[in-house]
Amino acid sequence: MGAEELDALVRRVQGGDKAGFADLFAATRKDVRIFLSAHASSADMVDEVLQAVFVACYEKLHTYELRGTFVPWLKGIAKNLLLKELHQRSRYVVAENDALESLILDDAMASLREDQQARREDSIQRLADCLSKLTPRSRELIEEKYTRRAPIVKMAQSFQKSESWIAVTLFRIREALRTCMTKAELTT
Amino acid sequence: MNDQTFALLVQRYAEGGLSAAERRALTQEVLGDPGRRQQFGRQVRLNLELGALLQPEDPEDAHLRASLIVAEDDDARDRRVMDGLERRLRIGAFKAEADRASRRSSRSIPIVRERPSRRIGVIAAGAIAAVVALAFFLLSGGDEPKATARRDRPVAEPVVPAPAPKPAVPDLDREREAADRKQRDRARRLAEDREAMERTAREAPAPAEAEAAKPAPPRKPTTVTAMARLMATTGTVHILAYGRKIPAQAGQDLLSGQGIETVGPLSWAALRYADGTRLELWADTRVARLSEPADASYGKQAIVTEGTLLGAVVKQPAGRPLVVTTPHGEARVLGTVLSVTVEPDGVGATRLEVGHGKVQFTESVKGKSVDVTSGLYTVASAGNDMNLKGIPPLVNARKRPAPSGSPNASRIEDAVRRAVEYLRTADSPGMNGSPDSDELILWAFIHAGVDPYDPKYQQLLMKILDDLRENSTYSVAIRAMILEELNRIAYQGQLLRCAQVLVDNQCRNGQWDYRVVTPIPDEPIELMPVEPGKGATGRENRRYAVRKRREGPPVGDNSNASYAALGLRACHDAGIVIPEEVVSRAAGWWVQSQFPEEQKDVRGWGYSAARPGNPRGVYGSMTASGVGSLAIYDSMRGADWKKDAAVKAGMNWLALRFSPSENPGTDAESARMHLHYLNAVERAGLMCGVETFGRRAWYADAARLLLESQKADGSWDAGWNGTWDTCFAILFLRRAGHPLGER
Repeated sequence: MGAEELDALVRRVQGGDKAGFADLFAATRKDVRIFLSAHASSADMVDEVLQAVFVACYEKLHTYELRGTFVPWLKGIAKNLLLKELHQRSRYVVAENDALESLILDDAMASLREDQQARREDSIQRLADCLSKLTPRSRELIEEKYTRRAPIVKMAQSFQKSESWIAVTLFRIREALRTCMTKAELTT
Repeated sequence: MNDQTFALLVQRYAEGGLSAAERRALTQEVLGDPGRRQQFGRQVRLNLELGALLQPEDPEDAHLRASLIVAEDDDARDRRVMDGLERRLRIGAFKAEADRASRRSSRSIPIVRERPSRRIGVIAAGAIAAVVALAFFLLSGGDEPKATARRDRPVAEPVVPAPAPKPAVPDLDREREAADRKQRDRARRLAEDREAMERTAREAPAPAEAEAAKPAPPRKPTTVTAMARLMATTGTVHILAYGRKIPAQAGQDLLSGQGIETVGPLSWAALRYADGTRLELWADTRVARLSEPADASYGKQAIVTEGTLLGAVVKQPAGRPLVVTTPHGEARVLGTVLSVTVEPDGVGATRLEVGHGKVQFTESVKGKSVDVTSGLYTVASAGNDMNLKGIPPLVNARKRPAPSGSPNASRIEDAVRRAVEYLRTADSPGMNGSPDSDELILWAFIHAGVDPYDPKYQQLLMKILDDLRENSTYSVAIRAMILEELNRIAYQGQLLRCAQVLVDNQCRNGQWDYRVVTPIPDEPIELMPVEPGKGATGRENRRYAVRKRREGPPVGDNSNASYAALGLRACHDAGIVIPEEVVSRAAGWWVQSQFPEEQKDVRGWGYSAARPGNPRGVYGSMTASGVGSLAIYDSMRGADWKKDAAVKAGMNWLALRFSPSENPGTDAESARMHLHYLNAVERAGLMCGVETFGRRAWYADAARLLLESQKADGSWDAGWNGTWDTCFAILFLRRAGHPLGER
């Protein structure tokens, strides 16, 4: 949905059409989720903040000016909320002495503080492009894992492979995707 | 670490399935090698991004979530009237047509803002084709389960600094003060909410008026599924919805996708699905999510991240098993009748106990599966090979050995079995203020050794647990005995409530009356932590005191007073500290109400105290009850009942007058109470550890008579009614009492 169409939807909601908010939500949720996934430390955090973003969006929608910038406006809300969550989580993680999540959080906060939104959007586009270059078998594995959200235990059963095989193959596919994205970045 | 292992551990990290040992290994690898560190960060990030990019958009889900946000905002507006925003997402506000559930397996419910429905869905027990009982214990002993549990907590929770070392001696004053404050705040909030809801209801225009006043834009019909209903709670219980915690109330509906948690040692909750499946959360349990996706390879799902979940699950549709997922494994209910337990053992672990039927349990690290069948348990944790082991019976129906000279044990077993069969279809007549005798029947079932997964047993238990049945002194007292017998730890919150009801309804003269005044719904019971380690019982329980908050009627009767003593004893055994004033007043009444001496040191009790014009005299059932009650209070006060002159005089009366064939005494009413009398004799005898009264072996003589007098249909009827008399006979034959100080 284009920026103008989104603004038209926003106008409807601002005018009192509550049902329109569901359409707005459906139209923009994926963008916000992708944005959050680039900086959050876990899928749980993505889901939590995502919902909070739309709560804040609904509460503040009357302040949005119709300038065709609804998605960036939403991402601004998302960034602020995510930063807050990352800070809170990082203190938690210190208390838990969870070194692994601590690493992820450090990277996440660093990337979020840098204003690299345009670069991130390019990166997601590159990821989508690189996905289309995967072999059918790799694509099948990736879709099973991320579209159908199958845990590797299940995947091992359905593909009749060991868990290790599934894990290593997914690992390699992701590495290949990253390499593909880096190459694409260098060539643009 | 080789690449293969590293890849596997990274994947498990991403899926939240690392064991403690694996986490340590991965941490060491990542921290020790900058290359691995980069790889790890890259992989985790890409994993998240792929998840976001490839996750299909679900328009219905979007619609539901958006509707919830809009609904929340409506609620917020209401709250300007109602004060405070905290509880804006009230699950019960969505009209759940759960009462129609018996006609429909899945319900689509339009989101219509209404006042919370507090109807309690009654699900006919007969509809329960088979009962499946599951118990999951998720224990947190090591690093891993704690980390897992915290990871799963909503990120918006207040950040808690690293806990300071606990003082060796608990600061009870501070703890009590904090508990008091918390309870007062909660009471105030609840009162405000109640008042506001009532005000809103009064002020809200009728739907037609509202429609006329404000032509709202056409509203897209949105549906959500009310999945289960919260039947009963004790302590602090929250509904988890989109990262928020909403105080839960009995009668609320849970939507698919929501979770529920119990917080604190007295917390407990029971919820029921439309098909009759029932889940029970014990203290400090967190079910992060309950769902019932239509398109999954399973039916109902519960994700348990900590604590204990017990379930009674009716037979699920083919191919749609109920799935319980924990950090350490996944249990699929395959069979018909079963039970499960999950617990940690030093490190994070899930223990699955199956009482009945069969559960397929798959451990999450290695993916190993085992079928756990009736009477077995297994533990899933890092390094555990998931061996199957036998579990002790969930309910320990005590079988006290009968003294020599008693009838053959197999004859008694047979008589009890026939009596149970009779009770399965017998009436449940109103009982002294209660609408039925369900508590007494269940109490008899427990002592008869009826299988805890027997449908009738489950029906009675669910009814008693899920409804706050505080109709009479008898029912509250028997309820307390049942809860203490079944699980004094899990049901301590309910036992605290029983104790509060009994304490608050004590008559001014120390007796109890039939009817009881119950705490208003949600009226908080003060939590007064008591220094642990004292008292003969409740060693493993935390101890809490109750305070007497109101006076009962001026006078009651000794029959009710004797049941109150039994109930208070059960609460005391569960770690509830009964106020000294209540115990003293009750004991004082029994001492002063004893009838005048018949012979030297021989005194009995009647229905009330001896006084001029009282037509009722001394009789056996009341004397046995008096002996038992006074011995209970002596024991609760740490006194030696053997040195209590009133108890000794009562025992002497029984020694002189005991008869196995009649309720001895001078009271005209006593004749029809023969089996009630035998039950009281059995309690007094076992409590005080005596097998004879005078020269009569009370058990052997009376048991023989009972076996002879059992009717062809398995019942006894000594003049009251078949149900009560049969229950009393079972309790006698099974020697249901237990010695003072035993627990």
